[in-house]
Amino acid sequence: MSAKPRRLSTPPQQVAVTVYVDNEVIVAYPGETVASVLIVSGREVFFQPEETYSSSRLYCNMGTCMQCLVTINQRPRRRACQTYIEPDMRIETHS
Amino acid sequence: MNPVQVDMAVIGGGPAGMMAAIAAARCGAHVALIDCRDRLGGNYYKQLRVQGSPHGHESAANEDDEFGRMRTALQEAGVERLQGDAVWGVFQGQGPTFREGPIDAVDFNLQLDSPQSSRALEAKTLVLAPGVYDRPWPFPGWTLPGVISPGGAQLLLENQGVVPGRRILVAGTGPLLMAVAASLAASGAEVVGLLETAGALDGWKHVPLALRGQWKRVQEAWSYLRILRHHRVPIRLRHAVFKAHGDGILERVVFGQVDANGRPMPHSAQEMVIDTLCFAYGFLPDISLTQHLGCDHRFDPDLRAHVPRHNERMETSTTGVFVAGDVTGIGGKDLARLQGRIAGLAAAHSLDFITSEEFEVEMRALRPQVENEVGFRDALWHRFRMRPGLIDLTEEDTIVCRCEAVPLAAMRAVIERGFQDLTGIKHQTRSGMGPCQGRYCNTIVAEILARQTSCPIDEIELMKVRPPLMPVEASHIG
Repeated sequence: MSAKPRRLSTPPQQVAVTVYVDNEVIVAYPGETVASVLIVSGREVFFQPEETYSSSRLYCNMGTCMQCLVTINQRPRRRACQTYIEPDMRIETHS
Repeated sequence: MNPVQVDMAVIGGGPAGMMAAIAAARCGAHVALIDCRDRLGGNYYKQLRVQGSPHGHESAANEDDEFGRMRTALQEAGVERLQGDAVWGVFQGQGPTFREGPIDAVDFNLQLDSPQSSRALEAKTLVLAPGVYDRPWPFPGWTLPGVISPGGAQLLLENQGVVPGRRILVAGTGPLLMAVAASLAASGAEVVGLLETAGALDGWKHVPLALRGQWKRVQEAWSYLRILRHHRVPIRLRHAVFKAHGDGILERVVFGQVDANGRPMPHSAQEMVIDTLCFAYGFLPDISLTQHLGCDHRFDPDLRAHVPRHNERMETSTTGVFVAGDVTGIGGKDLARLQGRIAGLAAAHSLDFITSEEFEVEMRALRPQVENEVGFRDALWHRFRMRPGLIDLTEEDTIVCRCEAVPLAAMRAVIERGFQDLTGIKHQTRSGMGPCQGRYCNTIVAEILARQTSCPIDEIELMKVRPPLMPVEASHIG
């Protein structure tokens, strides 16, 4: 099944960069947040929570709710919605 | 390392914070503007981040111009910008002391944290412009993936060029819902409806007076309505989402009519298949900083939330601490800009960068504009007020505190056992102890407590706020 969230238009291919999500190569575009890249690639549940946490994913998209924490370049608990992608970024969603 | 010293630190990079920084710096003050986002502009000025993404509505180009002028003005006035730094604590004098109570010396030590580093800043005065965030409400299933905030959906669409779903329901209360539904419909998503808890005639008595001089806003609302009509989006007043269902992800919702107090009418329940729900009951002011600094707050009966008290000069009860923007009551961009300017000038005046006469000349021009905007704001949020009957939607196993996964039943049990204040409930259930620091659940817990103990909600004492206000890497707290 294709992802329900989608890009309105795909920017030209020459600006595309690649990032790694759970070791899978994913195409992304400069200016996109980690959260955007995750949801358009079909990962709407991108943080398999620790025991005490309820199911988590993008909710507020403005850095307040802290529900979208993922590991980015080995730094844990980064907000996916407040982090802009960089080439070769390594994102772990624990899923 | 010695901390940087400034006359004034502004916290928040939206319209209010930007205006405050510009106004004070033009008076000659050394100003630092601290913004925890990656880029300036707050929630209002949305810069296009991705090539080819659309603009929400026609006035967007004007906004871009306005924003561009403010950015240039910041630079020309010599405002120091600390972009991407979050303030996790403000202390007196030399540094972190976790002491309780108000800070009364005009000497603030700000502890900042960014992904790269941590640093400190010393300021003689503070202008706080932290803004607001969408207010959720706990109904069964509200934590399912696929349920997002309308403000978040708007940022996703207008900043990121990402449409959050295919079949979308927009629900809750407030003027933002119309704007978001129109943007989503115009971007090609199927918007299956807009549910608004306010009724058609809610607050009509205030309309003629409140709209004086507000034709721009009337036109804006009209343009959204036209888009919604064009895309055949049904608008249902006095309706709300009762429940959301799905196997690990949102699949369908139950919705129906509510009465004037927001109480659901179960016999009216219907089902709808959707993949995305954008819902919020207006906004909540982010008062973590003003609480941390010991400022007095007042309970706003329409927002059913606390806002920091301030005088005409935007100064709070804590000497040297000023506030501006939506945190004072959600007046929108224009009021935020006016308040920001006043706060910046007042802070500069308090440090003798301008005389009382010069300040009064400015105030004479600003006062009537502020009054006009405040009148509009109050009428608007009376119409779109938070309706406490919605608490009937929360079931025993509904999660109230998301960070710590605390259901209603756990809170009720603790209240039953005699813990009848917010701090007690927090300690017993861990609600509000997670990474959002109670920003989302505090007001809900207050409603639950008020309901169960028959205590008037405005008599419930605010929870204490302790630093760190944001999650900070332990190695950064020295």
